[in-house]
Amino acid sequence: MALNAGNTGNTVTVEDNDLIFVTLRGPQSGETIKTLRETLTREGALLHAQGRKVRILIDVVALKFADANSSSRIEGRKLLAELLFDAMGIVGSTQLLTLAMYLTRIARPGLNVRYFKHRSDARAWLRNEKKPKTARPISGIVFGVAIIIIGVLALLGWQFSNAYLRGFLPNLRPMNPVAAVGLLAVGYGFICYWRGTLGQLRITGACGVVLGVAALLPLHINYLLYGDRLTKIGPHTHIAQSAAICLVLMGIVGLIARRRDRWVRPAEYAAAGVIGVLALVNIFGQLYAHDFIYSLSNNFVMALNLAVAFAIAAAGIVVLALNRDVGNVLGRVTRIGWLFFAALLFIQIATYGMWNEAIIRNENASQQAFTKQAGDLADIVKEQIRGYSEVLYGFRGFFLSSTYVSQGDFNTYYKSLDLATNLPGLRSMSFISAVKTKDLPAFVRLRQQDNTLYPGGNPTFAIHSQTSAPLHYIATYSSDPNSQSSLGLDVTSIPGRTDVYNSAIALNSSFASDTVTFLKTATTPAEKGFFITIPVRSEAEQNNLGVVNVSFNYATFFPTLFNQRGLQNLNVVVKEDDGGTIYQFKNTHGDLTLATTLTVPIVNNNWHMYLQAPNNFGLSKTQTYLPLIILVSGQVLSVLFLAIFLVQLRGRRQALELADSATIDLQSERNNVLEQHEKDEAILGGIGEGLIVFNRHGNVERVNAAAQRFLGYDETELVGKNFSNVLVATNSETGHEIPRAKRPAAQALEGHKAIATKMSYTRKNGQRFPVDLNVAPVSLGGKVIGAIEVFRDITHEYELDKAKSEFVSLASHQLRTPLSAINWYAEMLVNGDAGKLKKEQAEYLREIYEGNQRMVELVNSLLDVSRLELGRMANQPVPTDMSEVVESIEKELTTAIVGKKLAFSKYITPHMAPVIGDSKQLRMIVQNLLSNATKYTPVKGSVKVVLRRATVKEVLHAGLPHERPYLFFSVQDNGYGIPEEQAVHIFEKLFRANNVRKLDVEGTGLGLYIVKKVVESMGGRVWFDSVENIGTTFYVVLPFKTTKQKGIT
Amino acid sequence: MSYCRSKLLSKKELHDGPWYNDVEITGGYMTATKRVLIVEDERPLSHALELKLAHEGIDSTVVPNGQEALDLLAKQHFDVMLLDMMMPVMDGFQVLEHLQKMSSIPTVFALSNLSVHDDQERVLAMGAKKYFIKSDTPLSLIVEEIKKA
Repeated sequence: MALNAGNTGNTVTVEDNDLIFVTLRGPQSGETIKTLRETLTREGALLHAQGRKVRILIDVVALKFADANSSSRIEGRKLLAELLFDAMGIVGSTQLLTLAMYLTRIARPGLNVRYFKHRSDARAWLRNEKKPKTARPISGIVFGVAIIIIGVLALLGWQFSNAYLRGFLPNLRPMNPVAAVGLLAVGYGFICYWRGTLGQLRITGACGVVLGVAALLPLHINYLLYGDRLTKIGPHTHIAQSAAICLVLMGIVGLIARRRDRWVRPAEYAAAGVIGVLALVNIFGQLYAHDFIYSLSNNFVMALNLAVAFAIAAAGIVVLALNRDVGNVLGRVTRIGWLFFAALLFIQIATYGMWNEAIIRNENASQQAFTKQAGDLADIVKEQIRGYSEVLYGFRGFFLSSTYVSQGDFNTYYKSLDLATNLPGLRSMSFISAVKTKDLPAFVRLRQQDNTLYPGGNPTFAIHSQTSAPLHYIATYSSDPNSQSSLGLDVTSIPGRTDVYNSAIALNSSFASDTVTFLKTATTPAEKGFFITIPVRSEAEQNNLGVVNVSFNYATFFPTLFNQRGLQNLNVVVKEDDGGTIYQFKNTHGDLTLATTLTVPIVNNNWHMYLQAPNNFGLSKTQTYLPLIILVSGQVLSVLFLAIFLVQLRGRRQALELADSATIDLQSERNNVLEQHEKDEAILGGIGEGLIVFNRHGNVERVNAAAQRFLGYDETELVGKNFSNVLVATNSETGHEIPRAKRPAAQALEGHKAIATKMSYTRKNGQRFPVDLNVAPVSLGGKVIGAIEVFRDITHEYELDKAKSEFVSLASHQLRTPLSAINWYAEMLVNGDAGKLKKEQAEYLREIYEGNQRMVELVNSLLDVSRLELGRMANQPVPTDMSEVVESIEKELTTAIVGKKLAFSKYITPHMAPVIGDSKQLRMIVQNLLSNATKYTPVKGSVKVVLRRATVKEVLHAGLPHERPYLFFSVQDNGYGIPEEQAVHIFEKLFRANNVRKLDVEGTGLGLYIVKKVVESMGGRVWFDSVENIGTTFYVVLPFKTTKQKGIT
Repeated sequence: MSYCRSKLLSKKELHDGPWYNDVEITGGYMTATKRVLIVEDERPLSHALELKLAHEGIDSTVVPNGQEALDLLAKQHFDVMLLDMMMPVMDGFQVLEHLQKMSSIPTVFALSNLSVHDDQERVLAMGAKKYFIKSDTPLSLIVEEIKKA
């Protein structure tokens, strides 16, 4: 059956098994869905009304919404949702997000909607239809919640309170977070089982399998998540492979949960067994036999919480397997929810992974930078010291190049080296002469006479703090102008110095001192530092001239050296071999995770450099904050996703509310239809007339009780059969069977119009009976979809009618026979057939004759009335020239007109079209009106007749449809008129107005009654204007083509 | 006797009747051979017809029902039959049916008081020349028709 399905792509097919398949194909709009739904509602109501169970199945093929305007698109979706709730099942794919959303509503237990992959599945299901159980096994929610709690705890324990958990149970290992998330998925699977939406178990199962396998594999992501930090508290092989295996098995259980194959239940038992054994082994391994189990394999060490979780899960699977027939196994999937869940999970894992990666990269980078920095610093120190040594060797050469180096030579040479710039941290440079006691006076004299610096020499030069040592080290020259007063100092008087000089001389190479405190001078304070000494020995003369000394104070040396490098974010401590701190440099504090110690050789000593830095050493700001940025971005993204999801949820909730109200509407609509149907049934059953409903092919759809009683057939014998096959119709008059095409039902179905007629039906027992019948077509949207026939058995009326006719005939015969006799004998007497009559005799006889004539007229009028009322008036329409009729009547009335000296005038349109009507009846109209006019107009009165085509105004005045042409006929007289108060009765049978009754006794009171009956039966109207004693005008409007009726009633 | 009566019709009387001109046209003499069979069960009516025809000089025979009419027709020739439709034994319709089978039949004028339109049609269809409603028809008209027949 092809039905209006909204657009060309959509189809609605109603199958014999009461399945209505709706195929949605191609672009849809609000309008198409609306049309589709209206069709479905109507078809559904029709099936409902027939007491059949309606099952609508929606088949979706490439559905999409085509409306340009979003509000009508939304409207279309809403209607589609309503359509879905109207349906009992869905076939095919559900590719639209909207559709998937609405499906969750359908997934609600109690709403009897199913999903079928193919139409054949739906039909097969229909054959073995079972009522789905909607019981909710409490075990599902218990196990689900328990597993989820443990999963959450595991995640929290891993991230925040692991140490606490470990403190509580020392052998507890942190759970792999991947496995913990898998546990959450499996826990939700149990809740799905409780909710009866086992379809979702496929998703949770898939999550379990994927995450379990992920936990088993040495994936980089796993390493990142539990790697570095966790290895500090335990071996990183702590992921229990057994736990991962359990997870995989549980995932498989979830995947197969919807299946109903025979192998499923044993497989579930097997999985539960393995999970249970593994879980128990781990529990006992943790609590009692840890060492033993541990010795078997590190991998068998499992977190207690995980073990407990899987033990519970194993029990849950057993319960599930035991009760697997419980619950609505035809669950539906909230794909959108799971999509968001998966997306959130992915974002979280990716965020943590990237965060970790960034941290590790930063750590590596800063470690590298730190190590390089430390090496650099050591090299700087080494390089500096090497530079000093070179300067010292240069000095030695300078001193050895001449026999006498004057004060001025020293200063000139020193200045030429520009040491303050090239060798930062230099305190001073000096030359210490080695002078034997015996040579002291000559040495002093030579210095006093040296005028290279000052004119007149240096007479104040003297040896001071002289010791008794055989060899004196006398400070001779100094680069420091402020320490000129120290010149002449016998350095041997300062403890430790002599040893350094002696060591240098003995080794004949440079030698560094330990930390020394330099003497306070006029401008410099007593400060700590060190010096390097190099002997100046004339090999040719085998004579030690002295030593060149370079001294540094730490306070200047290190800052100058290091600050040049722009050190930042670094703490440096330099210590001597003996542990004494000679320098420290701190410009950072806090968590200094980077540290190193370097030993730098300083000529004959070692310096130990201790360096410390925070873990972001050497990183740019961007690098430093990258992990934080990743973490925050990930969370922001999650929140955004969550917000979108919540918006979606809200939209869905609104859709569900809408769907709820739509469902309620539909239910009440159905209830109304049912109620209406029951009412209709009661009403139809209560109708005394027979009622038959045909469909568009003429097949009987329903028959009421009266029709069954009349026809003698059962409902079952009639319904579904064609009327022409079961109902024999005959012409009541002729007894001939009416051919199918001429049957009223066929004509109503073909001709689209109502038909009223009389004919005979034949009962089941063969008896014929006359019926009065009305058939009307039933149209829907301009198309005839069937017909309704109402008929009644008129046997009784027919007989009564016949009896009346017979009575009329009889009365006619019986009354007329004596009247004929009187007539004829009187005629003969009047004519003198029986001899010449006397004048009086002739006069009396004429009175008798005329009286008899009136009696004949009366009888004729009465017979006409009877025939009119019985509908037995003959009606043979022929073209009748009304002007001829008028003239003929005028002729008949000539005697009266002339006798009363009436002025008779006619206004007749010439060559007017004839009226198609029964000539006798037309004559009756003219005859009655004209004879009345002549009769009720006094002597010398006037009668005026008008005959013409009626104007539209007159037709409208008559209340007739003005599309057809009408004849206008009026008779005006200036007679007695009709009393106003009696005007309403003038067309009544046997009524005569008071005034004329007094004046005249001739009238019968039947003429106007007959006129009205005849005129109206012909489709015309008659009315009048009258004023008493002024006159009366009767108006008649008749269609040129009069209505042909079988009879007049 | 009726034959004689018809002979006695005076010239003046002839002039008073509306048939005067017609009679003139037919040659001014009366056909003494025209025989009329009156089939009528109502005695007063058949008698009135008989009297009138006799007065007009037309020979007539009266039978009270259809059966007797048919019997008589088998033996004698009649030019005109005045046939009542409603009669005992055999009604006018049956008579007409029988007449349809016969080779030589009189001109039939149906006389009835039923005045049912359908009857008129039917009667004319069955071979009657005219159909008269007795109460509406003056005897003179019947005589005129008989003379024309």
